[in-house]
Amino acid sequence: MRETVISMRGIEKSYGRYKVLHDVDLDIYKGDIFGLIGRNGAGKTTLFKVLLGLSDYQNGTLEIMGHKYDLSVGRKKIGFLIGSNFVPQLTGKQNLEYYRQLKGIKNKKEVDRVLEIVGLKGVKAKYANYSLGMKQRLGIANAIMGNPEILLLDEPTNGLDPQGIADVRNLIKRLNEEFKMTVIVSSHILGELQNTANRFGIINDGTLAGVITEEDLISEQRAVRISVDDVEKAKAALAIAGVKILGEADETRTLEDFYFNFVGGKK
Amino acid sequence: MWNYVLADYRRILKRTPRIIYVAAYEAILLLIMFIAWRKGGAGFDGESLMGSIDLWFIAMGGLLLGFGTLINVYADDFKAKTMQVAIGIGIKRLQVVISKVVQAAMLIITDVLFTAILIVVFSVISGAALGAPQIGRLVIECLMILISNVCWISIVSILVFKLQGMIMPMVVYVLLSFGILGLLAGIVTGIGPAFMEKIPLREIMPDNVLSTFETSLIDGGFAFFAFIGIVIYIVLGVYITYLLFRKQELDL
Repeated sequence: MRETVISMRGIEKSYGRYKVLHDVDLDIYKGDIFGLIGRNGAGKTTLFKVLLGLSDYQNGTLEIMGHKYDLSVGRKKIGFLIGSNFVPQLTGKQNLEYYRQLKGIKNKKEVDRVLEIVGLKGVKAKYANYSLGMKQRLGIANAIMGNPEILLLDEPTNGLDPQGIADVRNLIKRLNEEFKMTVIVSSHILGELQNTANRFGIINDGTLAGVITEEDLISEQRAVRISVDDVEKAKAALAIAGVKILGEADETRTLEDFYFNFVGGKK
Repeated sequence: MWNYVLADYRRILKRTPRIIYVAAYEAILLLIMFIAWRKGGAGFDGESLMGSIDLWFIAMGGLLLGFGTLINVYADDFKAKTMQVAIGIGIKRLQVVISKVVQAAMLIITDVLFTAILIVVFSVISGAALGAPQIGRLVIECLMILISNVCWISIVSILVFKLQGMIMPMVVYVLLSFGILGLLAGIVTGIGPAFMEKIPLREIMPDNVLSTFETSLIDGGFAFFAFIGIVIYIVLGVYITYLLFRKQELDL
């Protein structure tokens, strides 16, 4: 039985008469990379705000790390990236130093450690001069400072170029595998989440329309791509083996393949 | 909560605008004392020194230092949304409200202590030795700058947290420091129904309570009920702020 780190039952959130979240039932398990998918305005960010206590909810129950009545205890184990929370006139390191003290992290080397993980160690520019990718990476660095057990990332690849997207994807996987963080990542880009998460929640008009797993995606698989040196021989061999070929399509490289081939870098 | 208080305190101390502001205030204070010393010549003594800083420190010090403190305590919170981060990592909203008032107090203490030390050092350099009455007056003024600013900032926090902005709170802070509440109470009592004259409205206004307390200290006493009144205003300011803030939607 997997350990539940976040549990929501019947969460309802309204602004006046307008319901932005309703009947939200969701369990996040330890070790998940949970992808929250939905179009702009579906309720993804509102859900994150409710989790963090930045927005109140009218009905339902929320449990974080086993704490139901004093959520601030559970929230101490969450790191998050939502928007930009840095002082523009300070460098990345100075900003993180402030948050290190705020979070009560006594180890002064923690700032350098997380900057190294996200590839920003040694950057001396002020935050105001950071590129969008650097800002996102600094946000992730702040989120992972103190080794939180749960990581909330709200649209971490927003506005990034393909290399930046790939870097964030790989970083998320590393944080999950190497640092054992449970990650909840939201996006409206389906393909990107599919490459990153192992469970997916589809949020639509303020409610969780469905939760699917990696296994669900695989079990729906109707085709497999095999690279061969001789297509005609392969088709003949399949026919001899009694395998019916239902259809065929020429293999094409994706746009992402071409991009990385031209500019270098890794998927 | 103390992590938040100390982290913000250290960050605000290093803010360039704050350093420039306080440095400008102290530079003007030094200039005033220096001009008075030069003018006073051999007759320049402790009483002369205190007289020279009567306007800039004793009368205006609270407003000027407090105004700078108010701006700096909240300056980066709205740009960088640091309050949201504090709440997101588990600091309760009441703790956030209290932390801001505590930070303000710590900054005022820092500035007032620095100013007092500057005055004492100048008195030694200029030979205008401060006697017991002058030192007593200096201590009282430093204490009143601290207490009055904590009181005003606590009350103004209601607007800061509710509006999540600084323009209106800054205006209200200046008006409060100039005694607007006592003035309004006087007007209401004067033009209102006859029974209003029986209510000591003006006397219970925070500016009057502070003034009563300060006078008692200068006279060598301690107005206990005035002190309690000040504490009540500070606590009320924090409590009302929390009531308005506890369910407030916060932007990201």
